[in-house]
Amino acid sequence: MPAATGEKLSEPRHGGTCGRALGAILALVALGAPAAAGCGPRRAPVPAAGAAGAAGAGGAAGGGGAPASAAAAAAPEAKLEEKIARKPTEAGWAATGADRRAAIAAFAEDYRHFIAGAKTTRRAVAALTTMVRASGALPLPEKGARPAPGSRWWLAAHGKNLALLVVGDAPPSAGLDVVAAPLDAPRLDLKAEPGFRKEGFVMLETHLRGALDLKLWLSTPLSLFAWVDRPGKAPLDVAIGESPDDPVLVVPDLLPHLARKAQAKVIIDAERMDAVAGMAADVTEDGVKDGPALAKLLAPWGIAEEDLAVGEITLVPATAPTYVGVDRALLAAYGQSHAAQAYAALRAALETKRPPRSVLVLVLDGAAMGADGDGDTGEFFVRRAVSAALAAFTADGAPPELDVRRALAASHALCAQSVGGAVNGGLVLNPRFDDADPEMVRELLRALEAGKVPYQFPETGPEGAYSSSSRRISTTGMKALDVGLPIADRGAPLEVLSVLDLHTAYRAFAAFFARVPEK
Amino acid sequence: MRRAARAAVLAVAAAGAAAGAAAAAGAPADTPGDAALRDLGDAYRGYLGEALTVARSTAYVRRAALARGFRAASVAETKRYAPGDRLVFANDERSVYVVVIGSRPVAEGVRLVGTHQDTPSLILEPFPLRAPKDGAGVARLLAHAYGGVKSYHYDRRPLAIVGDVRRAADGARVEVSLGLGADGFAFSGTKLDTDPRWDDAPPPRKELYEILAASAPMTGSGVKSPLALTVLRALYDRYGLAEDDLGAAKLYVVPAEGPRDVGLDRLLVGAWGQDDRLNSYAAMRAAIGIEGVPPFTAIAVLSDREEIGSSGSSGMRSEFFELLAARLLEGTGGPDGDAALRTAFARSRALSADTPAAVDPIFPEVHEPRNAARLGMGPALYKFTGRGGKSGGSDADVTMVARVKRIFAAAGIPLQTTELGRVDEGGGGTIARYLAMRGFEIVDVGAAVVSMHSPLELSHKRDLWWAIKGYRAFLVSAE
Repeated sequence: MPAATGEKLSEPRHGGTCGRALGAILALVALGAPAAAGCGPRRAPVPAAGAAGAAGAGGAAGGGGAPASAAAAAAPEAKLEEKIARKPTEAGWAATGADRRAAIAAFAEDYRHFIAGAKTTRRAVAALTTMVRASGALPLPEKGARPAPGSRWWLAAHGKNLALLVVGDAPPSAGLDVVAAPLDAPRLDLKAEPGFRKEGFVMLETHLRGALDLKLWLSTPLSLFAWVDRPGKAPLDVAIGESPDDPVLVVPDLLPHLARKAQAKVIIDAERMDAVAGMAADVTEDGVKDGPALAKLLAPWGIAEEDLAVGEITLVPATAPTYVGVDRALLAAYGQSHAAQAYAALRAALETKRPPRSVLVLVLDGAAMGADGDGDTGEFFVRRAVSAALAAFTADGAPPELDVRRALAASHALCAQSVGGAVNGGLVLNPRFDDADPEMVRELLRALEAGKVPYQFPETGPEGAYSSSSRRISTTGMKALDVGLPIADRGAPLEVLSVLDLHTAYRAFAAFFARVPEK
Repeated sequence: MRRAARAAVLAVAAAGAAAGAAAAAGAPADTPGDAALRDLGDAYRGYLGEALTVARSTAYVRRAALARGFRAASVAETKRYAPGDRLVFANDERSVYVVVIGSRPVAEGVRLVGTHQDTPSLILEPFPLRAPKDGAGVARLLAHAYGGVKSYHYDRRPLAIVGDVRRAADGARVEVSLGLGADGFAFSGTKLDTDPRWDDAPPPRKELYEILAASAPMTGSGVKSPLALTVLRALYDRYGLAEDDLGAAKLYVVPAEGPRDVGLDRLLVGAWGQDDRLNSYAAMRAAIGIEGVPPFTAIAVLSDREEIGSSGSSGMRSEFFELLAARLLEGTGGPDGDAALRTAFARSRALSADTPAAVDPIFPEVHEPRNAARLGMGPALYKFTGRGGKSGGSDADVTMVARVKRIFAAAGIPLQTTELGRVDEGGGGTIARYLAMRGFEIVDVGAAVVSMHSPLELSHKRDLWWAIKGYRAFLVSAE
């Protein structure tokens, strides 16, 4: 079992990890000693005074290094420990050879190009759909298709949801191996009537979407994305700020000179998150005048003021993805705590030649607000995709209701979302998110161990801001487990991801798809 | 502008500042067109993108001056200067002085615009590298604040490391630049907001910052600290530097994203470092653009260390300025001696061109609206600085205030009035007091910014335009 040998990006280092100590404590508990060691930094577990027999005999279970008295080799306790205590396995770069390092770098570079163009859900789904189509996948028909093993099919909905089906040796009706990856990163949406003038500026009112770490969004360059449906015409789809030559928008921050009182209790209140769109006052030869209103500022970009009320107009970080560190082993980018898993799962599925069971990757809209926002999000699209996967291979496009429900009940879903964990520590498993069924956990662990894919269990449980997608998806009858990448930056404009962890997720999904299930 | 240190506050009634700040522009005679503003903005962004350190700013200014026919001069030379001579002096590479010799000798006083080209950022510790020995996790570089910064402005933002190192082996000056565009990587601040110290209030200034530097350890048997080696090797491969060399270095950690236009109308420049490089650039442009022979010797000063108190050999408190002035006095045939120098100072007039805070549209309540600058309405004059009862600041003589207003009005340049926020809200200081201590008649005038000391300070291109014109009008004034 891999231990959490890495560290979190998010916290100062504290000596040993609870994960390591935990294995030792469990061993002590198994031997009848009280778990007295706790999780303190660099503290080896110490058997309590009076601990019964075997445990008192040497503390050989020390996680941080065996005491000298344990040098007496092959004590029965040591053998027992060897047999039953959790053993750290290789994770991280130390276990990564040169060949794989090259593969990781290439994968990361592909991903960096993808994530640069995936700043809104629509753009991310469009980019993923392009990738899926380029692989030769065909649109899933309503009926009459032949379920040839290895054939690939896709289905999209509303420009915000995407499903990829890879038919296995067993047809979809025998149950699917699902990876469900939400999209939809935190962002600043414009209000319906956003424009106003203040202190010489033209400002835009925003509303939060998702849980934003607001102070990090201050004084950071923002791009404006506008998508507006235009009956009879192609939709308006504009991004301002993505080209280095474009202007950007910004929510300003108060100078520290005058912040001591004004930001003493709260740095920034959500309702204050208004963005500078331009200048409202103009100085001409006739003196100071009111300058152009919002409509005039928007016009050169092809946006009408009335579009703001009916379009999807959103502000996201303009910062381009960038590797972090002289080794380019981390990547900072907007929106990747969601999109990274969607990308990794689709890549894994597209490279799966002929899986034993049929594979379904679902890219779902709406996670940043708990999947409750739109008409076609969350488990709705899950059901629809499974139903469509069965219908496509019937003659009449109408599979019996019972067949669909049996397929759902025979399916296994990994619900992918980032919730922290140790960087370079492997795929994060969160069985406590929604109290996953142990048979589902064991099935995944077998697949990961067969594929030599490192994994970790997080040291902390879900926090308030997180919602479990397995909780929603398991209501369809699937067995579901929350997994994800160790990214602890949710709500920040830039999230930092290890390219090793990204590649590990890709390998984990591939191992999940490749496994031969136990009868 | 330097954020004021906490000081004992004397309850002194505020003298009446000139009122009617915002819309007093009237009909400025010199209003730039769109194309002129765009060109100016492009040139200014080019300067900001290059001048990421004081040394790089000095290099830029020297190059710009030499291209305009200035001569690289030295305080060690003994030459005579003739009216109309154009000289650029540098104090090592940390402060720079652009000089046009006037028709009257320096003994009769000079006209000076003083700015500072340093700006708040982070600066690496002498031995900054911390890496887990086992190679798991992330190697970090430790840094602390230079000047008044907010911690969250450096949290998960692309950062670059720029500066210079004196190599131990040969004493060579090694210019370091890591994490800018072409490198294909940056550094990043780490997540700090789980630390309760940072949650609710701007942090104290002297905390240590952690900068993510590497996470893929070097391979090879026998390596003692493989992750540290990843970082050290990057420095060695590119610059031939060893860890010991870092002890003698000024390595700044600065936002890696370059300057941008802000606003759909492109009227604003958004960039880190505009306090006070906005006015440094304006003063430089003002001085090198002087035509003919000014009546008094004109000097643009781009000083250093203002954000930490104008200290050190390159700050405005340094007597290097006396040395430079004595050289100019001597070079223009002035009398020798301390008294002559002090007399020349007392006959001199200066603008302290530091960056005031314009009204922030989402925090307008920290300003008093009738005495607050707005972006785009011209440079702003602030008669006094300091905090509380003007403590720790400079309070200009009204004669000088009136004189500057006349000069700007005659040149058709709008001039706003401002102060450093509401009374008792906070405050700050500039270099004005250090020139006033020498006997200069001086007042603070500067092009303003919003979001001061942040990675994306906002300035208005029109304010820059007018600042250049206004400073030049002051430098060549015969008054």
